[in-house]
Amino acid sequence: MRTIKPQYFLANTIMVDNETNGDIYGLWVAAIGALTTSIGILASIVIKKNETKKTVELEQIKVDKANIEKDLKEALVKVTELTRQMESQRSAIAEKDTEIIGHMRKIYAAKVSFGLLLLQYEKVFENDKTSLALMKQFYEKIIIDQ
Amino acid sequence: METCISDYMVESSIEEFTLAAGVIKLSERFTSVIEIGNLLQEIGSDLLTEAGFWIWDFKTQECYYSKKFLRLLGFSDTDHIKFDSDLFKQLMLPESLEKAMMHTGEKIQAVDRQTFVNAVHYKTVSGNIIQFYCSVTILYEDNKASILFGKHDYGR
Repeated sequence: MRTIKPQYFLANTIMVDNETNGDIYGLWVAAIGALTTSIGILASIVIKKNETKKTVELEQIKVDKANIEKDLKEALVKVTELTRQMESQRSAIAEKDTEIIGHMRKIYAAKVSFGLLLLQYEKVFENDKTSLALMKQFYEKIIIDQ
Repeated sequence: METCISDYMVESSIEEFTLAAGVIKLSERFTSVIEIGNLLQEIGSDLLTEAGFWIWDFKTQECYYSKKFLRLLGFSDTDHIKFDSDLFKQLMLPESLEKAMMHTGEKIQAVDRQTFVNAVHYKTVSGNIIQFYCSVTILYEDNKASILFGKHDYGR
């Protein structure tokens, strides 16, 4: 039996006689087997590497998720606090509005009442033009401009 | 029954009281509600209301409508308005007019001096319907209703 290097065979397959065919097939099978094993090992390494990468990524995602949840909780607390402050301010504004409306109602009533008094006492002050003029001036400058 | 301003002080709002004081005091000097209304308008009485006021002389059927009220109904200041009670009949929705007149009639019969409220619906010049709450006050002369006046607001 001749020892033939596989590379020789690969280049000179046509020249090989029938006796050596069995050895050649055996070698082919061995080579393919070795190649398959190598591919398998390589694939498993690649898969393992990917799995490790995925695990690392998953861990990172978990950390990110935890951070986001923490941030969200903090934001929610802030939003709740701001909403409470806004409600409180809105309520204070509404109270002030009511107060202002109350003052305005009184001012309007005072304005009309003063106008009415002026109409009533126009005759009384007929001989006292200075007082009447003063009252009218007061009414126009203070009450009307209000 | 004599007209007394202090009667209006207890139950009425500051606006109702001021308007009542104005109508009562001016009606002592002036006979025409148009004249009284114009003077009240001049001293800013529309400020006492959200939607204007009116004064109705029950004997002459003269009726003064304030500028704010007329503007809200779609009239302009230059429009020629006939100041009588017919304008109520023209502008108030029939069912609203019927209810308001019935309620007011009951109050007049009871010689009730307190201010009372009617929910009234008007049709504006452009055809829209608007609702006001009308605080009505009745002034009496020899136990007979002589002057009615109302203050319109959007809410109660």
